[in-house]
Amino acid sequence: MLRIENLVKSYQNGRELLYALNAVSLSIDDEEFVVILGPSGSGKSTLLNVISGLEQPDSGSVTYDDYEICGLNQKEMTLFRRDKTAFIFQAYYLLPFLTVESNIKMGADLKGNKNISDIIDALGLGGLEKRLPYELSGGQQQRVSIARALAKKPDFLFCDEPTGALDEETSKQILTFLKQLQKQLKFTIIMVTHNASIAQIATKVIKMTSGKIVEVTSNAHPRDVNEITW
Amino acid sequence: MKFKKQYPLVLVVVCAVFICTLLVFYLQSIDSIKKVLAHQNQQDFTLTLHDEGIITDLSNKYSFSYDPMTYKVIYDEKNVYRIMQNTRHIDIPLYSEGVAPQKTTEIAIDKNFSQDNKLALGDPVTIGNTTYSISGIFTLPDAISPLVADNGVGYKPTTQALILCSEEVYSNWDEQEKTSYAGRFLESVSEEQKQTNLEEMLMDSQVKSVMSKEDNPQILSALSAKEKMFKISLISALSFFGLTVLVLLITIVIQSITEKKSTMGVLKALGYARIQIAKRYFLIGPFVLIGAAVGYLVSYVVSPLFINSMNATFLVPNVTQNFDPVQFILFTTVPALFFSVMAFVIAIFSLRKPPLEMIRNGTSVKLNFLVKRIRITNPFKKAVFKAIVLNNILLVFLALLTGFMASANLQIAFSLQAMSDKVSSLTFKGSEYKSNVRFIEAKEMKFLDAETPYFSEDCKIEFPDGGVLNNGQFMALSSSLSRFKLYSIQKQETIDISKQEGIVVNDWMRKKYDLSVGDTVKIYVNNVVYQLPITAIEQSVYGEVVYSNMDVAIHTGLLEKEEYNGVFTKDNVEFDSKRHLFVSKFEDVLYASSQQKGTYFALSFLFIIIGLALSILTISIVMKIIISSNRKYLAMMKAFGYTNLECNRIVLSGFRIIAYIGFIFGTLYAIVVTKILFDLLAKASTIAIPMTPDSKAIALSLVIFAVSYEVIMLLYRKSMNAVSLQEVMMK
Repeated sequence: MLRIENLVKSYQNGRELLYALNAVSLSIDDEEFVVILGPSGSGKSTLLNVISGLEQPDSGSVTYDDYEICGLNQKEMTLFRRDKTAFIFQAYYLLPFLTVESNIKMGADLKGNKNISDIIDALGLGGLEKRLPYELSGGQQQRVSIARALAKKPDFLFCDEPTGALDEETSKQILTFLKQLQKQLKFTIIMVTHNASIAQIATKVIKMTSGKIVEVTSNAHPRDVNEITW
Repeated sequence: MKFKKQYPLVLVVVCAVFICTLLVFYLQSIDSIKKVLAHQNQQDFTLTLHDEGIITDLSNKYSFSYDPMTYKVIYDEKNVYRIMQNTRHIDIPLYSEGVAPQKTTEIAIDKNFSQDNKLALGDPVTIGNTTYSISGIFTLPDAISPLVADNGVGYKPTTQALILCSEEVYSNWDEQEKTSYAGRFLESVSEEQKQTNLEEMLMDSQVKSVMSKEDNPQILSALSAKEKMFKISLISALSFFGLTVLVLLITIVIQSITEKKSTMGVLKALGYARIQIAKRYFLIGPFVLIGAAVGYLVSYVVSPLFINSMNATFLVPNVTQNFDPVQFILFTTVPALFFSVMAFVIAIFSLRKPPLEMIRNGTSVKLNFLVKRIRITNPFKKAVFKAIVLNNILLVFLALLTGFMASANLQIAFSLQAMSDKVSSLTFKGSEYKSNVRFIEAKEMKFLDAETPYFSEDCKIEFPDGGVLNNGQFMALSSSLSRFKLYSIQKQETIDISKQEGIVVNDWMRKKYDLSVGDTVKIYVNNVVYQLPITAIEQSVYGEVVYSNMDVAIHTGLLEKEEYNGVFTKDNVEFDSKRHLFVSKFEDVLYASSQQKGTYFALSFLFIIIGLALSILTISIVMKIIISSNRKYLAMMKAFGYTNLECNRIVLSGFRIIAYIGFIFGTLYAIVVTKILFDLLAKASTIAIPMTPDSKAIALSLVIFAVSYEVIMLLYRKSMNAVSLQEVMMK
């Protein structure tokens, strides 16, 4: 379980102090699919960064099953990320000079996972292993980035606008893969998006504005990916 | 263009400053030396005669002008002074301060004496009982090691001075006047004719001795040697610096274009023409222009430091600085234009690809054949290493260059030091005598044999390849008494001179004249030719002396006379001006050796500075480019849980291996190429610098390189540790 209490994160903008997170608190259960919605500048990406351990808050706490990560030193934080988390980004951030297989091994090698064929098959990447990223479509590249993330068997998958650069059909494919694999591998998804339609497939929706959570909605019966449109 | 993003261009400025400083310094030094040579109206040869009355006839016969070099030598309790009149037309003194003496109370002193005794213009100098005021400080062509004393004592600038004075002051001294002549061939005499005339003069019975400028170590070592050294330095600077800076700049240009590939792709997709997009890369020109201009101007601030230290070390006339507008324009505009055009062409070439491929920042099509290799399954870390290395051939080259330059320069520096030590030790080993004597009058052989471990005779030596040494020396060593040791170059042990049935030549002669054991050499003494085979080669790397034992010399006819006037070894003898022409002592050899070691130390220091500076600069650029071009992927790896140490190892370690491979190449270069270069140098000069693999030099170079490399790596690791995902995502 992930528990967040009174998170504050501010940035200096000239003489002005801007609060990206202003006393944010929430809790997320294991294997939930959480979507964080909000306009640009609402603090949703900062929240994702802080709870994933990429950034330290000014104050507050982030606790994973009673393990407090705020205040960890750099080495401890690295080991935490290695053990617990994985990321998917809108820009994929695949290493362009490595093949699909080597990119996936970036995640797998961290956990000593020798068998990546299952994840390759699960994401429909069979036959593309020896290709380089520029030889793939956007959807295929995002699937590789998902495979890379899941190959390290994370407990929490953080997704920053994973479908932001994709068309509707491809986006749905990606979301379908994510949902299926979540069910299969049992991890928690925390996704930041602009796209309100995606909220319909989540089990929890958090709406943010000006660094504050303005609404938290639990969805006992999330819709299937194919039932939504945008 | 934001300046802080243009660190590569800042490096361009640094490189340009560095190379321009050196170039300007070297070129100005060479230019100054040429001006000094032109001013001095240097002699072509020095002449001594049996009868001074025939000088006019000789000058007409051999077409030369002359200046009588009359002088008097004065010894006081502390110093030795060679006093000359200030009336020279050949070998004109160059006044670095003040003017020639006009009054009877004035003298001018040489620069070395003034420096070593901290004497300035107007200071008093007491010679005998008379005190003079210094009106000027000068240098003559034989500035490094002029002849001052005439008793065989080696040159010491602290206690020996050249003095120029008016005719009246000169005539006031009662010491015996001695005369030689400085000769200069007339303008109409061709180079070929000069050689012929010199050879004919050598054979002329009226001539006691003639020594061409090229054979005169005093003159040759002063300016010509410095000019040669500058040229060697210039060539090495140009080859090392020029190549490095060129590769660095090309790398920087390609890197900055590669980083902008996506943006260029967007512009192309929007409909901009290739030329429109590529022309912005002409902007690199002004950066290079500024860099070169700053470099050129900085050289005027920096080079006096070099010049002062070089002048102090090598005791050569002042190198002056002149602003040369043509040189300035050439140094700044030509590189600026070159790099502008080069950047434009590379940009145009990069823009040939389809916009989509450029936007996706796809792998270069040209490198596909390399990339195919790493499609073979590899663990992640190995794959990253291979991919970074194979996709950055220029960086690999630079990393190789890093090790190469450090290794080559450091080892050359240490080898020069080792060589200097070796030459000194050889000199000491070969000089187990306390003093050498040359008598004024010839002595009977039977009288000399008992106490003469060796003696020598001036001679001309002709080698099988046609090469001639006009001022050679033939030295006969006593088999039983000689303490003049020779060491075999092949066997690394003492040559038993008694067993030699021919002559022994040295290593410099072997290299210069392509000699080997068994070759026959012609030795001319007093117009008689003697042919002797070479039976051994000794280690000395300079010296125009051949050796035999007494028996061979006598058997050949070289000693078939009852009287002999050569150089003899005689212990515990004090100079007597009535009996001895000179007495040179072993302590003089020690002093000359220490002077020579100082020169090599300065040269070695220069090589060390060049090697380390280039190596550090290059590896810094390599690290900077690797980190900046892999920033987002490093951040990604960190986000996934790779530690800083792992990131460092994965991304940077590969270049360490390459740098050390470069070090191995540098070692081979230092051994092989410098050997070839120094062999060529041996043919063009009077010294053969021995280049042999020196394990201590290699080990020391490796330690220095490893420490420098790791320190730079440590600094860049900190920069790499600072890479964060937020920063990359913000961009």
